Amino acid sequence: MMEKLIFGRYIPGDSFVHRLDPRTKLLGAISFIVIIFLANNWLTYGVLALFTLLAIYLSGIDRNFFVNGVRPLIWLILFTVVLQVLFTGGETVYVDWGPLVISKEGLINGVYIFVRFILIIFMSTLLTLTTMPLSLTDAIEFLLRPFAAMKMPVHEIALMLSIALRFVPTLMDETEKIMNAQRARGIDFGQGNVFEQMKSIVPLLIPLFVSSFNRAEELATAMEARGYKGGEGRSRYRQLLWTQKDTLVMVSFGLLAVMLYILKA
Amino acid sequence: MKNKLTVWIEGTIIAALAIGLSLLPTNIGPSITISLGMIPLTLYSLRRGFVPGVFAGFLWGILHFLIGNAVILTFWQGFIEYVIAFAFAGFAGLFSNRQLKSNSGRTVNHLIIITLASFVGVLARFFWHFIAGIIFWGNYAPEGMSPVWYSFVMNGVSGLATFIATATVLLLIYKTNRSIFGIGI
Repeated sequence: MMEKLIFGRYIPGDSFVHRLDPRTKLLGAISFIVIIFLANNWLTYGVLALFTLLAIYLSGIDRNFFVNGVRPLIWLILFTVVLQVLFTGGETVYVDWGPLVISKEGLINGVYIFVRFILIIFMSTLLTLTTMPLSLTDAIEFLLRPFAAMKMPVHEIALMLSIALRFVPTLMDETEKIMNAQRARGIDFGQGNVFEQMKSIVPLLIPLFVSSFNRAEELATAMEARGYKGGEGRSRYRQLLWTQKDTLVMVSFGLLAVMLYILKA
Repeated sequence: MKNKLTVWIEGTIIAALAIGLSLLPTNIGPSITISLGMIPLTLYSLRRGFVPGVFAGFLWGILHFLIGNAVILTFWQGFIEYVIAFAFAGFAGLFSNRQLKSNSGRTVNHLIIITLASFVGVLARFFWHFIAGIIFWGNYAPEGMSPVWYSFVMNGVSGLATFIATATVLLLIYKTNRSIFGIGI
């Protein structure tokens, strides 16, 4: 069961997108999600789709990974689209069942919304496929930096995020070990009704909690022993490097926004 | 300092555990999603209090972005669901070990506090999922369909299921090993 779980979705590579600074990719993805709402006609959606396809092409990652990113959400998306199609009134009516109307305007609206969702998912998938979780943490630290003035412990948050990322696989391994140990003692996981299932995870969680708290104590001791005392003046192992490519990509997102603004109806 | 660092690191590992549990497949019913991560988070909030609880919840939320587990369809929906909502799960810490300690020995009170903490944590978190749902469906629901009602039903069912699971498991854990709640630390 555990082998099927992939931790993170990063796919190693050396493409143009992979080599961009994580800050560029994070800022780009966020601005894409914001500016996509400017689109409201064929032309603007076409420009956005081309932009996304170009980004996917530059990442050199197989298309199937992006399609797989949409899969878990496909029902939500289709549900939303169908609602839009059925309930948007319009002048050119094709089918009329009382309150349910299929009109030209409704269909067009449905297609727009579908494309919008797909493009948003493609872009965010592109971000997580081409950026290591740790690099994303660095980018988030950079974005949060203005909040340090408001006494937000930005450095500590970033450090704790990277520690958490470090421990997810370890904890998953441990979970599997404990599950196997308890199975050997006769516990069935994933059997019976909800209450029985909840009951069966208790002997899994208790050892997991105890070892987690021990681990935390050990790690804190180790950090103290190495002289950790908060964020001031700490140097870093991973350096972020902003290059001209990054400026170019950010400018292209800016241009995309301007273009949508001009072309929108 | 040492103790403080231990508290933060514990929260960090709890956040990792919470996201790890959400990666476990839970085949309970076809559509109801039980958020198993609420179990470690509520336990930690009870153990260490409100501020550490909110901090651990915040980390848990951000981890969704890093691992690529976040469902983002609009900017504000994504922001509310993953930056704000999970942090509010730490509200369970309002019933922290100070209360557990002051009632030490009285098991019945402990059981009530644990149940109440599970409820408040789940309520505080799902309130924001509910708000995010209104924003999302406010954009996409057709006229005549109430986004408030829809979001309430969807998040209410998930929230209730999560509350029942969290409270049940925590009470069972309390029965076996009450020291992990921080009683007597």
